[in-house]
Amino acid sequence: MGNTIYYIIIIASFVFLLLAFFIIYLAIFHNKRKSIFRQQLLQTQLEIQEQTLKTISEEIHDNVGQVLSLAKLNLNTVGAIADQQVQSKIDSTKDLVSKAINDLRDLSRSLHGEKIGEIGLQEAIANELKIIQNTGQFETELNINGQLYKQDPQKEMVLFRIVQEALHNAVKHSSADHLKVLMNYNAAYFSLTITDDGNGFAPDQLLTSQSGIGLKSMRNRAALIGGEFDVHSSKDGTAISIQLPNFKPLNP
Amino acid sequence: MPWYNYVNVGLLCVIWVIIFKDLNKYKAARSTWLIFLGIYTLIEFISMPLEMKGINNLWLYNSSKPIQFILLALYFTKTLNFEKTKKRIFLIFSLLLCTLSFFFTDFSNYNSLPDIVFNSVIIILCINYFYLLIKYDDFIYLSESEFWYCAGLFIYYVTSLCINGTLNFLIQTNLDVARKLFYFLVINSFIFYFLIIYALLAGKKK
Repeated sequence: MGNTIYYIIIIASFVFLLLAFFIIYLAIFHNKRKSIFRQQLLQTQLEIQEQTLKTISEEIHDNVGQVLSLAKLNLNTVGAIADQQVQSKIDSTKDLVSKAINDLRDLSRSLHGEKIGEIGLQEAIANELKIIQNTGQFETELNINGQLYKQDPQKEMVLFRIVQEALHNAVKHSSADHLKVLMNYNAAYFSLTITDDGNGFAPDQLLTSQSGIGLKSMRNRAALIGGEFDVHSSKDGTAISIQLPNFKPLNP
Repeated sequence: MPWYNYVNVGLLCVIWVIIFKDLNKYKAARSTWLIFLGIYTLIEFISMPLEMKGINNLWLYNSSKPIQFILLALYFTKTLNFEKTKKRIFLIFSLLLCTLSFFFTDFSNYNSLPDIVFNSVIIILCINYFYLLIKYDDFIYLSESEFWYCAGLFIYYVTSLCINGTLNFLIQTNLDVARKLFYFLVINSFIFYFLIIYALLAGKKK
C-alpha cells in the first residue's frame, strides 16, 4: 500500500513536471518562430530597399535623365535658331521639364513605403497601373471585388512590392498589351491576381533555375506574410496570384 | 549535516555571489524577487542548524510561506503588467488567502492545504505569463526577460504540488513514504536553483 501511494505521487509529480516542461518548450518554440519571422521580415525589407535603389537608378537613367538631357539640348540650341522657332523650343522644353517633374512624382509615390500604408493598397496599385498606362504602351485595369478593408501596413507593403515586381516583370519580359490586377476582399480570405496577355514562360523551370530570382522573391515574400503563391502561365499570358487565408482586417 | 544540506548551502551561495556581483542592477530590475529570494535563503540558513540540533524548524517555514507568497504575488503583478484595479484586487485576494491560511496552519507541522492553495495560485500566474508570451506578437530576448525566473518558479511549484498536497496525510499514515518523498522535494529545489543560476548568468552574458 505504502509503495503504491509512493509511486502514484511520484508518477503524478513527473506528469506535472513534463507538463511544465512542455509549456516552457512551447513558449520557447513560439518565441523562436517569432524571432525567425522578424529576421525574415528584416531580410525582405533589405531586399526591397536594394530593389528600390535599383529601380530609382534605372528610372533616373532611362527616363528622367533622358528627358532632362533633351531639355538641356533644346536650351543649348535656342541661341542658334531663328527667333520664330525660339518660342516653340521653349514650349517643348517646358513640356519636357513638366514630364520630368511628373515622372519624379510618380517615382516617389511608387517607392515610398510609408505612403503605401497611408493611402492604402488599392490606391497604391491604382497609381502604379496609372504610371504604366501613362507610358502609352500598355492598357491597364484594376478590378476590386468585395468590401474594402485595411490590413496590417507591413503586409500591405509586402503585397504591394509583389504586385510591383509582377508588373515590372510583365512590362519588361512579357510583350503584353494588357495588364490587369484583381483584388478580392472576402470575409474569410483576401486574394490578389496579376494577369497579362503576354507570351508567357515556364514557371516551374524559372523557380528552380538561377535566373528566376524575381519569381522566387515573390514566392518568399508571399510565404513571409502567410500567403499562398501561385503562377499559371501559357502562350496566352500569365496569372500570378497570392491568397491570404485567415485574413484579419484592421478596420472591418 | 546531511549531504543535501551542503549542496543546498553551496547552490544558494553561488546564486548570491552572482547577484552581489551586479547587485544594483538586480535591485533596480527585480527588487521583489530579490527580497523573496533573500527570505527564502535566510529561512534555509536558520533552519539548518535547528535541524542539526534536532529542534523542530517547521514553524519557520510555516510562518515565512505567506510572506513569500505575497512577495511572489507582487512580483507577478509587475511581471504580468497588471493594471491598477486588477493589481489591487489581486493583492487584496492574496492578502485574504494569507490571512485565511493562518486559520488552517499548525505551525509545528506540515500544512498541505495552505501549500496547495499557494502553489496553485503561483502556478496559475506562471501559466498566465507563458500564455501572454505565446500570444504576444513580437518576440522577446528570453535572457533579458523574466522568462527563466518564471520557468524556475513554475517547475518548482508544479512538481512539489502533489508532494506538498499529500505530505500531511502521509506523515500521519505512512512516515516512510513521506521521508522518501522528501528527497524528491530536495532534488526539485536543486532544479529550481540551477534554473535561477542559468537565468542570472544568461542575463549577465548579454
